[in-house]
Amino acid sequence: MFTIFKEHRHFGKQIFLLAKNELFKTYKGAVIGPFWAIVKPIFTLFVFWFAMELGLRGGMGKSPMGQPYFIFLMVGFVPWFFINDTILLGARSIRLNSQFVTKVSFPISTIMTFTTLARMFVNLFLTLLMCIVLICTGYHPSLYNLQFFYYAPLMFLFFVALCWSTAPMSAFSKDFESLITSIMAGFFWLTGIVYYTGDIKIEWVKQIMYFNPCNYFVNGYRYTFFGNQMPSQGSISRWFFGPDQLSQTIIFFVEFAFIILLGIHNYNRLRRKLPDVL
Amino acid sequence: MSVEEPIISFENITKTYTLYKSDQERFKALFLNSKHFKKHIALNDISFQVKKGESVGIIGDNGAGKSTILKMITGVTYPDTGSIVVRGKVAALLELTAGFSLEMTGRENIYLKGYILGLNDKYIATIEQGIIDFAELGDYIDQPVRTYSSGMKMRLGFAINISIDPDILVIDEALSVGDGKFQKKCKDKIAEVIGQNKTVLFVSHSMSGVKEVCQRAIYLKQGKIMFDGSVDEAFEMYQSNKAAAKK
Repeated sequence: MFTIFKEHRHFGKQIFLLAKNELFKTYKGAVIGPFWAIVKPIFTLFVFWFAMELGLRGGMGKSPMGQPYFIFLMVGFVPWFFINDTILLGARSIRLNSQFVTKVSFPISTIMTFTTLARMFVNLFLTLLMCIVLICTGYHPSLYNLQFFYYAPLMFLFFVALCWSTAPMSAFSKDFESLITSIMAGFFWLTGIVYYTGDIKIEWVKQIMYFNPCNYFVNGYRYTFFGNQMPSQGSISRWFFGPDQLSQTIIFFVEFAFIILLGIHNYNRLRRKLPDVL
Repeated sequence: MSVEEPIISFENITKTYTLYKSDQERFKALFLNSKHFKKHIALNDISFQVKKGESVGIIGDNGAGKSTILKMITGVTYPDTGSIVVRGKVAALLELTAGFSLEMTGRENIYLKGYILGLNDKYIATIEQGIIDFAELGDYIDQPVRTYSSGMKMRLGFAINISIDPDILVIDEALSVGDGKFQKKCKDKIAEVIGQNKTVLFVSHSMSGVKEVCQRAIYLKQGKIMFDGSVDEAFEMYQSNKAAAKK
């Protein structure tokens, strides 16, 4: 922890610059450049809406939480885009920035921070677009929206800490990177994005789903952005500290602590080997 | 009597590189204690000290461990055992174009390099103009580094490293910095810095180069220090060793 903390001191401004730089790198050279950051998610969202709502559900209308399915899907997808990009790009981040590892004495843990931060910028923009769509479709702001300032920073920190493990391990062994890519392809379906985990009828499966930290964010975003209009959810608490969600919040924080410890362990264990293997 | 502390101190440094038999073994090593690897010893229990103001040449064949030593002094790589103390700012004139962020402008890269070396905004601002002038980049300084020619990148890299007021200067003789005119300017600048009682580490194959700069030379062979002393004697030993190997 202290190594990582020390590496970040006095480097704050530089992290912002490098994050900005990261975005340029990702989107330069394309004709519509930064618009790809929006076009891809919109297209993905449309395809899933089409397949799920019109194809599978035959255009039934209401979603598991009582909104039009498109709204339900959109609010679930916005955090997922961040999660997916951060896990995949985060794992590759050290390899992609290998010149900082092998050529100069660089605070390596900041590589994961600025990579994640760059994805966060994109995600904040997507969130803004989502808010516009929500307001236009009659989902007006409510006090629950304030939870965004809890979930978004928490999501950022959680995935930075996850990268402390995945990035050095992927840099060390390319097979580990492939393993993550494979896992992520399937992990989407194990996370409640196209469905609501609370609707699962088999109780023990439903309970297990609470242990997937991605569900914590995806469902959290839903409570945050349309918590005031959830007719099918009755009087369930929409606050992360409310009686219905407290146990999930506790599970999440236990997992978070574990990921932090694991990350520190893996980072410290591999940090010194990285210049020799890249 | 006060003994001056050495500016660089290597104490019983050993460095081995782990070579895995295959990628599968490397993957396994992430989780288990794999035994299927070979160790390549790059540095074998070496110790030396460099005092402030000394100029030391490091000579030896390829693979003798010269660049591993330099990489340790610049803080890129780490030893397995032993302890290294380096006091002060290190300017590495090794791979001048390394560590640039290509999408950032030259000016932003000056700051990036500065931060990596532990400098603050205020200090970098005072040396910024000097760097730009020395590198002769003109208006290009506010263009992304990816648009630079390789010569421009090298000039900027050299200018940044030499302008940070280093305590220790690490130079590879194979250093090239573009056209003849600029090469001369760099040589003069290096000579000027050396004249300011800075510590210099100079890696080279050529005797004349080392003699020009250094009073002392360390001869490395297969990760061990064979000789540490006067330049003449070091080269004598180096050459007789080479001749013996040929026979």
